[in-house]
Amino acid sequence: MNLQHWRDLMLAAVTPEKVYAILWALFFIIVGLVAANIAAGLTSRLLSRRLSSHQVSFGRRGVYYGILMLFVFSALSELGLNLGVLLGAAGVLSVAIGFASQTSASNLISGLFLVLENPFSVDDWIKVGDTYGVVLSIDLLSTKVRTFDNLQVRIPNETLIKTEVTTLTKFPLRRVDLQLGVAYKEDLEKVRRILMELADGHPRCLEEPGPLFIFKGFGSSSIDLQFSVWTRTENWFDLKNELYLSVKRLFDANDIEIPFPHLSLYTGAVTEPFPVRFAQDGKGAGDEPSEAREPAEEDPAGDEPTQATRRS
Amino acid sequence: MNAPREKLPAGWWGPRQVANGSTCRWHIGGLELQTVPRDTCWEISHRYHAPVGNDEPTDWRVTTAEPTEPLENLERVAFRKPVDTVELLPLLADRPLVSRLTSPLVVPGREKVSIYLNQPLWIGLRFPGSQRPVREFPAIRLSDTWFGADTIHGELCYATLTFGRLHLEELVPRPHRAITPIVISNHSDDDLRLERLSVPVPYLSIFISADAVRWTETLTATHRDPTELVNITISKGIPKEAGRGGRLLAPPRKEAEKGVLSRALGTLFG
Repeated sequence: MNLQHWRDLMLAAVTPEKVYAILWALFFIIVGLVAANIAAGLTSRLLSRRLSSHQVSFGRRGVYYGILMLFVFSALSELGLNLGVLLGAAGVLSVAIGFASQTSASNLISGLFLVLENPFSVDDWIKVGDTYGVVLSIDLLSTKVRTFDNLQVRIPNETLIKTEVTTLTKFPLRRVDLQLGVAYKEDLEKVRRILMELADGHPRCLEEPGPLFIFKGFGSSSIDLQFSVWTRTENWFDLKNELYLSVKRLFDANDIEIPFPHLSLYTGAVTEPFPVRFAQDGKGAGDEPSEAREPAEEDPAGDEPTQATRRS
Repeated sequence: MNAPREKLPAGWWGPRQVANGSTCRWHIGGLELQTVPRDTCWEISHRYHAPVGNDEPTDWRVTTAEPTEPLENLERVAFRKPVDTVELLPLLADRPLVSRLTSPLVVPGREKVSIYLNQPLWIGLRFPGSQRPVREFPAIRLSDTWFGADTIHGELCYATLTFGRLHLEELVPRPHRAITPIVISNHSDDDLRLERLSVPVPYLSIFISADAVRWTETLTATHRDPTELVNITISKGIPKEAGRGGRLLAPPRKEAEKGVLSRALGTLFG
């Protein structure tokens, strides 16, 4: 076959009707692109006042591709393609792809739900399982989170839909809960007064809602208390640290004991007394283990070896 | 700091020249503010010597001296050329002030009362050539508070404690405070119990009367029904209680647009 033959074939195939149909199809596509762009822009402008940036982006894309698809179908129809067959083939194809990529499809659908439900936005602090971090982006398949030690964690959207997600920065206020313990001998009214004065004197503790002093119970080694103050969400972390430090300082200054777990050893009635070893001033008992002396030589208390005395 | 003490009759605000390298220190309310010009740079430091909510002493003073150590919270402001003047501006708070009454006030049905609140001022620091203050400091360190129906819906404010004086002569004017008269009209048949008052100070101006007392506009709050919002209006100009001869000292931070104001002021009582 030579070029002349090709030329004849082309001329036979390209009839004026077909050229007309192709031009119409091109026209439909160009008009579709312009119309989709304008409609998407308007949608974006209308929604941006009420919805989050992700929802706006979602709406914008939906309008753009929806309109464009209508015009593309019209263009294909102009070219004489049977849309019913095309849609049927697309249906079969989508089922096949769906089976092959169930996980991706699930993440994709979950991503759409996340955008619509909007449980959190970019820059929010969230907690998912053991992961705490700032939301970097909410993409179609996954959500990227930057943890506070600067790691990026990719969380599949399906996981976010299925599990409990806590948005830490959703509301403007947050409560700081301090878990405290004081010795049984302490005057709780005094403890309460000191804590309330601490909250009153701190400019970042909200005056209203007021601080809470909660008696939690008699613990194994201490009286367990909870002291809660409200603050602006952005101050939460700094305030919590400051308050713990202040509580320690104030308790020390007011001779309020913060107890640590105590353990009493019962040796039984028939148990021999504990052996007691005395050390010289300035020397620990462990310094010279071989030079343990008889208690009676150093201390009168050594006469009674059953009274364990500890000196440092 | 052994320095000449100087008391300015007009008030602590206004421009002030400070020689290069010397220290100018203001004591206003609970605030101690120090500025030191060093060639093209100003060192600004401040500290509060009174606890939160406390504004003792009640007077003010300014001292100039040889260079001294900065106070706390040192900051520097740099310019292209040396600047020898700093200006202090009186301002009202940038958020509403919620005044908790030391004892609740009950306004019986069909009654109308006036109460006077002494609102703390903010001190702005401005340099020549700039329209807005470079830094602002409250004359009294105030606590944050929340004013709203719950912890989700509401507004972040500053908290103050006030007597809510019913008689003006009981109120002691202070150089770092401005008096806000509030007229409360209870048009309902039920008693109106007031424990906290949220005053939208960003919408108020500061005036100074002929006897050098600072005032804001009068607020009028009309209560008709417990289920309805309180209708609040801001009177224009210096209050009549200030007498004649007053003048505007500082305009409001925010202009009260129609509609915006009614929403912002929708809740005065808490």
